[in-house]
Amino acid sequence: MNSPYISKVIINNYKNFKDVEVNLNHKQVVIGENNVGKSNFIKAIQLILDRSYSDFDRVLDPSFFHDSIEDPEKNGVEINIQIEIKNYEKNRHLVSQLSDAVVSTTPPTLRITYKYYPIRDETNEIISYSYLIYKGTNEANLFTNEDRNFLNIHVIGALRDVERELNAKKRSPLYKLVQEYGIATEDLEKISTSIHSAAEEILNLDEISDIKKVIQNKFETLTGLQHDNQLNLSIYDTEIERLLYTIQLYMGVKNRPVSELSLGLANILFISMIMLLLKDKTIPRIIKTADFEKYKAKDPLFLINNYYNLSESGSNYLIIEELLDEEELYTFFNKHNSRPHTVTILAIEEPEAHLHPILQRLIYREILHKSETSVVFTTHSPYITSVAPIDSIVYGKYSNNQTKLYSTVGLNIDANDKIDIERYLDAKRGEIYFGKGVILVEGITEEYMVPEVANLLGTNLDDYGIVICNIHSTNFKPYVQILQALNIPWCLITDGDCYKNIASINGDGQQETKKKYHEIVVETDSIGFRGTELISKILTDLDICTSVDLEIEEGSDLQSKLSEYNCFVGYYTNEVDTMTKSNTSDLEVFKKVYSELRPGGAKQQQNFDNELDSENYWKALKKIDDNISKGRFAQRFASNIKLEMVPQYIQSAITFIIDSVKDNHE
Amino acid sequence: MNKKFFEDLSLIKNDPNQKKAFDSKGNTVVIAGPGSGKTRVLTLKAVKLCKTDIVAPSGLACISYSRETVRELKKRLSEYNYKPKKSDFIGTMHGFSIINILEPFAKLYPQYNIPIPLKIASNEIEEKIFISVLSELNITDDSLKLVDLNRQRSLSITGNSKVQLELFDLESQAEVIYNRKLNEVGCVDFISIINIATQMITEQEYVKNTLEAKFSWLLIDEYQDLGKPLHEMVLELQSQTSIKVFAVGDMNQSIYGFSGAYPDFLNELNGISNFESITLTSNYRSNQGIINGSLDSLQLPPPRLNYLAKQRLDETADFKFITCESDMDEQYEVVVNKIIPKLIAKGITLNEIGIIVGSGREVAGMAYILKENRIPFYIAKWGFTNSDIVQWLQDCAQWCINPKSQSFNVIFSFWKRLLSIHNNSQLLSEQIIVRSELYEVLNESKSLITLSDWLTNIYDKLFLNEILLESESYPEEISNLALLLKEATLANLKGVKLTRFATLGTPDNEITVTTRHSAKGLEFEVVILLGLEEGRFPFYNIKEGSKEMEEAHRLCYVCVSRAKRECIMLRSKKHTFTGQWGPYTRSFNASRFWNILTENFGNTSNTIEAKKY
Repeated sequence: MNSPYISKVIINNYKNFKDVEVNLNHKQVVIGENNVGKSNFIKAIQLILDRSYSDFDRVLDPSFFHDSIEDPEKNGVEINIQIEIKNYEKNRHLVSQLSDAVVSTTPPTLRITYKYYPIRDETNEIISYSYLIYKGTNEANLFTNEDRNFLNIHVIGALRDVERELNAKKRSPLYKLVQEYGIATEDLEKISTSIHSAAEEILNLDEISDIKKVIQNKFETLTGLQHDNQLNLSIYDTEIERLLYTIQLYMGVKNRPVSELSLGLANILFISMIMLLLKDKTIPRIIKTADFEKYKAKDPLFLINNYYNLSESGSNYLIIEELLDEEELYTFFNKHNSRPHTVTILAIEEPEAHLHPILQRLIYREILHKSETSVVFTTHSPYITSVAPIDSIVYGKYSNNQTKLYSTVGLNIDANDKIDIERYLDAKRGEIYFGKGVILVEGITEEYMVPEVANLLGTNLDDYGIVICNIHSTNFKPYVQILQALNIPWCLITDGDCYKNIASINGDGQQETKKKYHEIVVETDSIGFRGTELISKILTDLDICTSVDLEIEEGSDLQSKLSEYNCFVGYYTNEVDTMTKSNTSDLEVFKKVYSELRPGGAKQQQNFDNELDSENYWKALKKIDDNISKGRFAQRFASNIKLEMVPQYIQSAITFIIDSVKDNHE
Repeated sequence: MNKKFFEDLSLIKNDPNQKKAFDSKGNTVVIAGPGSGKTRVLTLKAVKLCKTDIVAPSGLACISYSRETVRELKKRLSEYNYKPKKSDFIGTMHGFSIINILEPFAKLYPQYNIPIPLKIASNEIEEKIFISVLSELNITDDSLKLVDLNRQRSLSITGNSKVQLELFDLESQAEVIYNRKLNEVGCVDFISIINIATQMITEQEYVKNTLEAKFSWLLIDEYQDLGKPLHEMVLELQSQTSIKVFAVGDMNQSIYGFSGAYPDFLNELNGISNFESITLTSNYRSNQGIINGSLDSLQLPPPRLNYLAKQRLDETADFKFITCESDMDEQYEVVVNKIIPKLIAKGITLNEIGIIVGSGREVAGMAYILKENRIPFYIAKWGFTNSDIVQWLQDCAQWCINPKSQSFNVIFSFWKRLLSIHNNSQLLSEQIIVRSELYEVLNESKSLITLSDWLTNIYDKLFLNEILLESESYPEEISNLALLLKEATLANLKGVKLTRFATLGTPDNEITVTTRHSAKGLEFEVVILLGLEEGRFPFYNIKEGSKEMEEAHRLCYVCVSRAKRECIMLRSKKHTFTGQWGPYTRSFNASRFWNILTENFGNTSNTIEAKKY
């Protein structure tokens, strides 16, 4: 069962964030360039939720205000940070502890607000600044450490020394885990005594006795005949508590200690232990026999009888891992397990540090898709974003002197599309998230051609951070949705797929119209474009424009209308459009590339040349596809293309995206 | 838990029924007769639950009838070294509704039209609304009374209860208009607060879930007095949530029928199958004669209740029936000149004497005579209301006298709440300044000895009248504070020391004077009952065989059962009234209660003419 999570964050005037409101998901991946304020975003949440912050840490100073604000503390500007929590309603402790924080019940939502504000005297003069953290809408209901004991955040910073953390006896995650089980002191005492007596055997070894003797002798000669200078040897003390943190992790058949692990493995180990620590422990894994009887008395449904087995030692009951109805058991323990269970939201900054890409993908897949703890990552790693659910991305973008955050939470993407697009992102390593601008294309031809055309236009797409995404279909809709949601500049290039309407009489004697594709049309033909129809539908479905917006005036066409909405649509198909635009000498380029790649002999070449010369472009294209394949042809053709041959819509698309990216940066 | 806790625990262990109630693990209803130690069981149970069953952040919910009974509960709990936690609620039904339901949820459910901060209708507004209800219904006579309308409003809430109630068309019509008009002026009143809260609990799943998470136990004292809304709330919570209910009450002590608190609700609860029903039949207060006499006056259909005295086993009850010639004045005089001297001569201390009269006017009349004769007395019902703010002033007074007896934190948190609901802006930013100012004012006031000086000083330095000006939460408080000050400067608290005010809830060595209704919960060695004339008690307009007549019997039962040993009754043969054409005199027969008791306990030596006494 998924834990409570931060569902919304609103920040005003804090650090990079002037006015930001962003929705978050149970698993959240925050991406964006360096310096965009990803860490500050986490810090804003820490001001409210981090238990390790002192009062002093929560007091800000003028340097925390957004840069654009002049003399903030003289002008009485406030910093506000507000978070909302959802999915907490199953947790009785939270419902009760934070009952003052409820701001909605449909769905149940808690709100906590931090504010850093001026204190004024009776003449409205600012005396000083102070902070306040409160629950719900009433500032009198303070959010205190008592509340943080039930709901808080744990941050694993980007600069971390996991080896030290793992070995830090009392603070090590392993020790904390061990402690959580609450091992009975009596059990430990027994062990402690037997360790002690076993270890004392050492002292009886002849060698050790001899050591004692020689030290004693040496010491006496140096100290003279002083009283009470008897030396004794004793073993390390085996106090009960310390016994527990002597438990150390070792790895592999050779039992390598943590200090010898690679940084990568140590990181994974560390993160997995933190995840275990944060897991909801409402359902105990081990129940002491005495407690078991107490629970049994409160359990008319015999749940715990079904879900626990007596351990071999006979002193505990162990959970049967293959739980049948976790929810049932959770409800039971939610009520009867009085051990306070804290809800901790985990934030990991740059988890990719020290991790091999393959390990990155493994561990994030595990955390993002299987863990019940809510996690917020900040990352640059395409390996994480590529396995992140599409509705869990927050994209930070710096423009006009402030960082804005855009989120994919709540995107209404069709379930099948979602699977497709996640598979695409996975395969393409989430490149779509990392472009400063994105050109969506439908096929391999454009993928090869567009960068070359850009070069011919005098720009290199890489310089602008523009990414070409070939989605291998015309299902642009979900991609457009994501890019719109994240406010990433985009355009799309697609074929016009012109068709001819052919009227005929069908078998029932009815008049009907058939669409005929792959034909060069003339002015008198009744024609349509599958491409513009498709794009119009996407734009109106996504409310990017209305059908009224797309009504065309005299002497204009739908293609130019759509280009106002970032969509650049051709006439036939890319290749045919290019051929149509080519003059006789340009067509020689096609012939040359064909000749370089064709498997057959001169006859094959002759047939192709004939088709081109007689303007049978569809047939020429079919020959390319049949004998070479469009992709292979485009690959070679791209480096031979001349600007005059390039269909206008492709040129426009490129100019458009470059301008948008430039705009965005200035 | 402290020594006192374990001492008291060992006491109840000797009573199997008390022990059973203390140990009960699920829903429990305890029917507890007078002097049966119900409050002890309830408070011991509360302390035990806090230590064992209730785990933070859940808390204890404990509801009682009035501020006075709540104060008594809190006092008892603190004697067991119970330390209130933030999550605990101990208070009245109003407090519970406001703090746990209206304030947190009003904004979330705008459909209930709850003004936040709560705007409580003042007496003036209620009066105006009532008058406009009358005119809208074209009523010019006294066929509709506000008290009947308010009872109807309390009873109108519907839910799981199957209790059949007699409803009247006129009141039902008036109710609809009244509620509409109250809504129009954007106010709530004490009835609508509870009704809306109950409605929200029944209708809103989330409200129920929150209560369930906050409170695993709901303890209710004086169940019979709490009326239908609480009953519906309990029925809803016990059937729809895992909250466990522990309700204590006594149908036979149900005397607030005029407000809609009928014994039928407790009866219904007592019959619910998943409630364990426990009856406490031992009486630790009175001798068997008093118990029998009180049961006689109750006149219940058989079987007769089998209440047994557990103390004063070899004592016989002392009943006296004294007949005066005319008027209440003679009864007052007999009390002061004959009865009290004799009681003092017998060695009975003043605080073991309770005088129970029929009305607030008679309390004043009795008090006047006592004062003239310099007999110290205590009035359970003052001219001012024992409001939240008056209680807080008493806490302040206690702190001034002995800072260890009251926590300044508690005092300050009420002050903070008071300021915040009255939109004091300084509070938020400069809490520490407000806090130190309050501290200084109270600290300096320690040097003032008389109550009137102290009150004047506090009103003045804390700007109480300014803060409460046009207050929406405490609309009557300025006039109430004025009444308190008047009592302290001119009337019964004139010249008294601050100490007296601090302990206002408990009489010093003083005689208690109280009305019959306010006698509830008190106990005295000797009870003196005045005004036992048929037509005056029970009142002449109560019909034979009616619900009201049953309640009159219960009221008498409550009065008689206050006595531990002795019950003295007085009546006058004639009473004089001031009519339209001047004074006139009417003769009165002895009250039916008098007759019941003389029949069983009267004899020539205890049934006397006043002049011969």
